Amino acid sequence: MKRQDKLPIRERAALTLRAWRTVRRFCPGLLGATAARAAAAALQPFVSVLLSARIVDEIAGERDAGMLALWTALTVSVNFLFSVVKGCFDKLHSDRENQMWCTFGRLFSEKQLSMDYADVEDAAVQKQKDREKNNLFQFGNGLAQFVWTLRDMLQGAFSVAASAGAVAALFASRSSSAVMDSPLWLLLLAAGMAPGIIGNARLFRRNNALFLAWCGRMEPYNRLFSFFGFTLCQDDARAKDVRLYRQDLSADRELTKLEKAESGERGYHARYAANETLAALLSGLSYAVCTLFVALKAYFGAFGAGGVVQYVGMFAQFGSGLQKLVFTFSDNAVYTVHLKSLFAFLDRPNRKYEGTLPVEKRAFCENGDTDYELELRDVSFRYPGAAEDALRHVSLKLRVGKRLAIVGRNGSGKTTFIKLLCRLYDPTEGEILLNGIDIRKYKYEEYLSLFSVVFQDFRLFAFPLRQNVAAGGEYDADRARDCLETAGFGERLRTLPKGLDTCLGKELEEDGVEISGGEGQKVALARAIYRGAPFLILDEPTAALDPVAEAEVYERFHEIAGDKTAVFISHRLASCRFCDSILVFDGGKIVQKGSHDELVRDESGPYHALWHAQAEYYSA
Amino acid sequence: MQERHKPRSTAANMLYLVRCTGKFLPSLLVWTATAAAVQTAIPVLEMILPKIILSELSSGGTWQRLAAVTAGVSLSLILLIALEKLCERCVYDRKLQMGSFHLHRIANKTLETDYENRESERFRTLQQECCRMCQGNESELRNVYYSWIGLLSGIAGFFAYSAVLAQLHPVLLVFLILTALAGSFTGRAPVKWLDAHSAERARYNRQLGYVDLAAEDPRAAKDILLYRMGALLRKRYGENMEKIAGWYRRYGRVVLRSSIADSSLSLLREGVAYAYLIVLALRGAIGAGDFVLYFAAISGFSAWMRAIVTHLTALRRTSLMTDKYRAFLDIPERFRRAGGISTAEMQSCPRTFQLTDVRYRYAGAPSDAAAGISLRIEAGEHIGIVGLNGVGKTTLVKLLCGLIDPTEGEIRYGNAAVAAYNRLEYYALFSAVFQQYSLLPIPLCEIVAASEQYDLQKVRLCLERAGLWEKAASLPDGVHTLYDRTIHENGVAFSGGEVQKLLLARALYRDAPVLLLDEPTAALDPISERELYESYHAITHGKTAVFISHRLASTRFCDRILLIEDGRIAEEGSHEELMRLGGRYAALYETQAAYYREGGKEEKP
Repeated sequence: MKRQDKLPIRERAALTLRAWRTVRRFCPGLLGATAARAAAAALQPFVSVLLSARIVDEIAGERDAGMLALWTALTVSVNFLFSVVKGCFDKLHSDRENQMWCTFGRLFSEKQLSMDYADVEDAAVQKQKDREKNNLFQFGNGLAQFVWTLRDMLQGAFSVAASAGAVAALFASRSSSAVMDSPLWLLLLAAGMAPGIIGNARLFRRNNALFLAWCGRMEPYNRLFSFFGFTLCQDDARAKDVRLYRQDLSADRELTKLEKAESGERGYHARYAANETLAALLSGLSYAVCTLFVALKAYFGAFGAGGVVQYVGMFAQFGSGLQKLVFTFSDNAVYTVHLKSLFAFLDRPNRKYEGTLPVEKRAFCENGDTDYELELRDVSFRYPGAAEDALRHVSLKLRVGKRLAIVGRNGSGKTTFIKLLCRLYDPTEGEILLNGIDIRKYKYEEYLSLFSVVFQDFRLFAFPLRQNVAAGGEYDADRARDCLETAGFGERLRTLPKGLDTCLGKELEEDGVEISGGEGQKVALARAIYRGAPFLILDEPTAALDPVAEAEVYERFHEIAGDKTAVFISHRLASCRFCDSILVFDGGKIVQKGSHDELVRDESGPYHALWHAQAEYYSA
Repeated sequence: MQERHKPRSTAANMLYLVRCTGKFLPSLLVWTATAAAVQTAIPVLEMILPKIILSELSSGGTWQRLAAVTAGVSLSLILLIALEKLCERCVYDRKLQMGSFHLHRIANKTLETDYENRESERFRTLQQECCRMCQGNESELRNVYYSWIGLLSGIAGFFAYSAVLAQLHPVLLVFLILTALAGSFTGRAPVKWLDAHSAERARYNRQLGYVDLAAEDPRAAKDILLYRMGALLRKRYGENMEKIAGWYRRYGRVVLRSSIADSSLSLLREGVAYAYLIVLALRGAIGAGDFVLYFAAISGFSAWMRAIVTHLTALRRTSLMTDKYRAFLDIPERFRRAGGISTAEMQSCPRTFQLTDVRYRYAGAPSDAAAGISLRIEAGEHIGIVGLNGVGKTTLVKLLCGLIDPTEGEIRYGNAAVAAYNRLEYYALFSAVFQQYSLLPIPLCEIVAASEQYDLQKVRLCLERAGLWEKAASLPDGVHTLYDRTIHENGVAFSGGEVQKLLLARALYRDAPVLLLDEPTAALDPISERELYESYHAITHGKTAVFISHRLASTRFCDRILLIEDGRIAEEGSHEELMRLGGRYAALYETQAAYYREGGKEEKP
């Protein structure tokens, strides 16, 4: 991905301002601490040089003991003061900078939490996120550079401001030689400094282009490195295969390839170093010219020994300060490009939050609290970037309090159907209506609250059990226990040392408990029950359960589903016998609909084949 | 496995890192030394320059001479500064490579280590710490070179400046050194504090890392959205950040105290030194030029001392980290590798498994996962393992294939105990399809062959038998297509069913004498499930096979079925025998079968 070389000034200013606001919001106090520290760091040498020049003047001149004592006392105590103050500001700063990286991480997790679900499943968007994250964390591009540049800029500004007066005095001083006092020197010295400054800026830009190209080349390697160096090593699920299939050999090979790629970049490094060295030479030359000027002026009597010390010191400060300031602008040109792509990612909109209607029951409440009607009208859906529709012209009405089973082969559109129902995605054609109104018009969070879903790839967290069950809702210990009991987790719950406060898994707390896949499925079921939403959707709820636990779930199905509308996806066709109605999906369409008895008799339909594929194993 | 030893000395650890660098990237050491030399030379020249100018001015020579001398010293200074830039860059680029080198070694260790080691808390903690110290721009193992440069130049500068100051009263020099040494004691406090509290910070970072990971996991997004867990995650995040912020605040306080103590010492030192110099000047013993020189030498001197102390402190910290790194790499491996019995002997012995009263307990578990299993498996037998969740089925399979060793009892394969074999070659006896699998982002043909070398014909055959050939051939690069779209732009992503077929093809290619199949059909639709059972049935011909399944249907065709309960074999026999027995297996079978019979179980109202 080629990045632009430079952005227009106005855009850069806007991006920089936004970076400022972002850093202020996420790392409060960092910018202030940076400024304070920069000020102390810049002013200390300045004050030190100024005071010591006075002592030197005294030594070269009168040698008055009283004055000497005064100046010395002043120098030493000011140095002490500055170093203490600098120490305090250092502490303030490092307190915050150490957390800077953690808080940058928060930027990304916040975005992920508020992103449109379609973006979460979109590989391109996730790749964009990874790229931005990598860019920031591995190289500090963008936001981190902004903070570092700010520090340099402030230091530069303070240095220049402090030494400007001294530099002016230098040019104003009168010596015995008219040649030396000529104002032309000002121009000459400026001409001497110019190549240093301009050359530096240009070389820096060149280097930055080199760097970006290098980043681009290394990106695929970095991804592989991240996989083989981290993911493969730390994912517990992979450990068995890693050993049995000797994946350590593949990893070793790939990592060696990466090391070779890195060392193959010698040419890039050499060119980069050459540019930097040249830049240093150029700025050094301007410094040399200035030193010569000061020496000659002193020779011709413009000032004494103290003046020499003072002006040589000041020029160094002035020069490096100016350099830092100039770098600020070149740096800014660079990191604003990174900021632009970062903000482009962070600004991805989430259109789902545009609805405003609150969700209400139907006006004529026939069935109490769970009186909702969902309807799909000629709904088709295609995943972004896919070649074919995942759902084709699906029309359906979901009645309240009914039990619906959904079956079909892998890839026939069952899970996609669910995702559309609970509005993780919006249909590409057709519409979904709740109580007669398009679901896009409703408030998103309220619409979501109508659904309790247990997905096939559900996730539990290493938080305490009670937080996993109650999730975002209010916590009621008795209710949580009841739901766990209903889901079949009751016995296991009683064996847990800390009961509902036990953490699931050891990532957060060392006294957490590892639970098996089947136990996890029960907790996920309990979570769905606890939520109490009118639509209960279960996607393969018994896949990881053993026959006994599975039978328990079927037997308690009525209890679990209560008076809700329950939708059940399962490959275990046994569960179909408990449902009022069965939908058979095939190739994104609903091809059969009816009760088990009706469908199993229809030998031409796919249900018959699916049923017998399983039943034949159990014919005694 | 617990090995607590005294941390090695800083010198020993530094030598170790020098050796690592020398082996992998010796040019880095050259650049480090050069950088140190240059970093010493520059301040020395900067100190001398004013003195030279002032001496010239007071000596009464021509302005041409003044110009020449000034220009000469300035130019040397410039060249050195340019060289410094070059060194800085060269060190920076090479240190990044060293970081990769260390991470590579850590990855190797993590992937090769005994499976059992993964479950130890110490291993996991060390592993994470090691990764952390190689990552990011502030990693200790990468930045150690800057500390060396700082320390070397500090020491060189110390001697250079001492030489200058030696021309003054020797007591002054001694006084300066003493105060600097006193400063080094104040510098210890932060390091000690860090040592005592780094475990705490590691814990906070790990917790924060988990919350971050959970919030960003694309697979968790649905649940987070639907169950409104966002607020919970944010709250957790805030709590963790507070803890980390508090830790850094406390650390900062310790550092500040130490720095103030250091500043006070500087105050004392400078005050005495300047007083002495001024007395000398008042006596007329030194001129302005010399005064400036000694002035600079004294303040520079403390800077060198401070640099030495700072970098020594940093090196001590790095040394602690390096110690952990070495401890991690040195974690012992109990499984035999090169010293064990090898493949040739394994191939000639009878292919039987014999388990004698085998027990296994996971680290920290209250009871045995395998509680006394005795079993004999003959070559070519097809064994089915069934039982409720958590009874020890996967543990048994792990014991069989040598991922874990029994805590009591013995497992023998052929003529020797499993522990006696070269474990890596022992693994080659097994073709496994586990419920939790690992597929690498490499070409499909390499995945199937589990190696860089592959026989294209055999790869095709295995893919055909697994039912994946059509799909593979339809891909743009055929079997050379890279797997995993999240890593490779042109990578392929497979559905659940296709992954199962790929895993099967891999197991087939290996053509090992023992086949292990652990619940592979959970995510497949009935038709795919049946196809898979039929392929399994076909491929197990002539091999020893061990199936784990909940779907008792699939185990019906095994020669022998083991019903595991509470870590023991409760019932054993063929399907017909167990049904005739009418025990728990029969009950389990009925539970599942009932639904599929005509007029089966009705839902209880």
